[in-house]
Amino acid sequence: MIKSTYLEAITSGLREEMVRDENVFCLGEDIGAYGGAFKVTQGLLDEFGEDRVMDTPLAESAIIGAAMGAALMGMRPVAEMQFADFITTGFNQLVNNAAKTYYRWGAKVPMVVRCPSGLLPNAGPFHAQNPEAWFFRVPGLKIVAPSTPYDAKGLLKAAIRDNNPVLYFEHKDLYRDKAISQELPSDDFIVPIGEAFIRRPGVDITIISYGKMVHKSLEAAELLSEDGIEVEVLDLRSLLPFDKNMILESVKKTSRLLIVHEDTLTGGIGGEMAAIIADEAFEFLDAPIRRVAAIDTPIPFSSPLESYFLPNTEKIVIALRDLAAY
Amino acid sequence: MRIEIVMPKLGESVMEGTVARWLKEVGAPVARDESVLEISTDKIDTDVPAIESGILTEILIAEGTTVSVGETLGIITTDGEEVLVETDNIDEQKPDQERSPVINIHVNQEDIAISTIIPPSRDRFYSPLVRRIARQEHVSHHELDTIHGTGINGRVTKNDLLGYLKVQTKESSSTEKPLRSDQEMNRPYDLNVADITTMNNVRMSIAEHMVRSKRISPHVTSVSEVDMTDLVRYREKVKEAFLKKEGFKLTLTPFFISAIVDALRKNPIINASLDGDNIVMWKHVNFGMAVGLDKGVVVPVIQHAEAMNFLGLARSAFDLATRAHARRLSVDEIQGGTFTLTNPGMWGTLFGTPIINQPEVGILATGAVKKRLEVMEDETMAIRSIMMMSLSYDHRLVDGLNAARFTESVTQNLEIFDYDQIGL
Repeated sequence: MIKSTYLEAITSGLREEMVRDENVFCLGEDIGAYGGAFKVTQGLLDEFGEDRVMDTPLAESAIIGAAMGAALMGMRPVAEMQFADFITTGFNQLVNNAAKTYYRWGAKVPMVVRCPSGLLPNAGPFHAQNPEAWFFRVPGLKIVAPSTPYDAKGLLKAAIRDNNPVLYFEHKDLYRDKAISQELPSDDFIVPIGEAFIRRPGVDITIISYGKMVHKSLEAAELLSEDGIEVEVLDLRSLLPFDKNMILESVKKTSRLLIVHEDTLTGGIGGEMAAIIADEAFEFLDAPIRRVAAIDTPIPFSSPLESYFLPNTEKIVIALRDLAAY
Repeated sequence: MRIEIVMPKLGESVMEGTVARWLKEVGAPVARDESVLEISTDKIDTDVPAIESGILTEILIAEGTTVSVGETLGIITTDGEEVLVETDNIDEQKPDQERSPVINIHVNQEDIAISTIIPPSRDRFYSPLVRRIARQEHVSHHELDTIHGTGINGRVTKNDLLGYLKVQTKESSSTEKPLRSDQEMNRPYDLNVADITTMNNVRMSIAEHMVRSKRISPHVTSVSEVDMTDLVRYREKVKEAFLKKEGFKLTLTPFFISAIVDALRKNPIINASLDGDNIVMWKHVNFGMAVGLDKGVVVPVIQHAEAMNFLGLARSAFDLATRAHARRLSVDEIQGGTFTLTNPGMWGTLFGTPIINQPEVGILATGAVKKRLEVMEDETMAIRSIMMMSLSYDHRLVDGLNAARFTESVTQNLEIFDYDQIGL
């Protein structure tokens, strides 16, 4: 069987859902003839026509607002942000409109906003952010962030079928990463929203991570294993709602926790994870809860600054060793 | 090389000590075995010597500060190393104030955004998990303090505690109640509390030790009567001369010790210990004598008592008791006992049922000497000085017969004392 990249898995998920349900359609900047900035929607225009693969003006407020309107009318739109960074101009449409409509008026808003996020080399402050935390505190939204092709496809299909607005964060640096490509099942499958996954079982330290940092965490865990320290790597997959039970179970087993995310530290999702563990598993902790994240600055352009800014395997290893020695 | 000067463990019950005085300043050279500082504990004041020659480069604990056993007090840097004298690190805090933890975290904070929660360590930090396991397994805080920690700054990790519990379970295959002195009492509703204070370390240690001893050893206590008439008369007769000659009062204690040491030599099974499945017979009689202090009991030990004559025992007992009251005993002097004498008779107690001082297998308590009307062998009546004497023994090792032979021997030694050996 042919292995799928993360990007191919997303495309495949989109295609399958569009075939399955004629209410599913895509809209976004240059997603039609151009195939999207990252070519996720390449080929879909030819297959489904311009009514279902719609190019839009450069206006995220309009894209998200139109998607919401379509969703209210019974469609299942999948809106593409060219870069997740640009979602801010559609912030009101998401946070005040889409997120609150079901609560306020009882109307379902089954829409997906695809957000290509994360750092590609030398992308600078406006094309490489991980803005999931901006939405993490908004009741009414769902957020997913797959780390593998299987999850990318399964979570996208689950998001499209979900009756709530779902933000789908796809990491740009994973798109064409051959190292993580997978053979995918040929049958129709989904990955349920809200379920985490243990990527690597361990007994000594738990890492909670998501997106690309799952792979960096796995590399670090492999290195620690050489010292006899077995690190459990928990891939959140869904950020909102997140799998609290699995997190608690893992931490209760290992008693030590490291949270790793590519987003900047302050106000990141890691803070909430730490708070929940401190609240509900305090008496199971044998060490302080630690976080490895990007430093609290805009994303630098230059390569040396970039590596200084970003979390990486080495920084995770340092934090793990520190925790193990605690 | 950096050599740490640590708070020594001054006996089983002492868990913390106070830095009384630094005898050397930072930067001063110290020779091996030379005293570097004076420390003071509940039981003993003593000097701490340097274990290597070098330069005292750091003083970490200020005078007047109390820290746990094992904590680093200062650093000696040995020759051949670049000596960097740092004075900034000295803990300047005043006595009796909480010492802020000196914690070095070796995380490159600039390179990496790691948030660190520094433990609010007072004496020794225990993580929430360690505390929870300790609670569930009935390990008292005091017992926790004795566990060796492999974590940062000697912290007791989950694995340290679980390892400790594993060994404990192995050691005590019995299903008896867990050892603890911190058991909560079931307080009747109509009891009004006057005051609640935490036990001090000595008290806690004694409490632990008592519970442990009762759990380890099945105690049997036998009581005998001793006719002390001759001995009391003899003492009355010679006490002035003795005081003049020796400079201290002749009490009954050296008679007791002398009689018991002889009986121990004749009944070596009482001068023994159990170590797992092994019976350890001790070569020497290291005679422990309980001395009551305000803070608790201390048991100084007359080492190799079997090699001393009466005067030697008397002098040694007087010296140890005097220094026990002055808290000037050395560590060696309160360790290594093989048998213990306690004398509640001093305060009029008729007899006691003492608890064995582990790992010994016997403890003898002498009661008050009372004048009584006695029926003698020839069926005449006489006023005699009678003392009750009780021996508690570990019935695992010592049978009733052994115990009876031993107490019989002590009784005979006291009733028919060999006064010639006193040399007065």
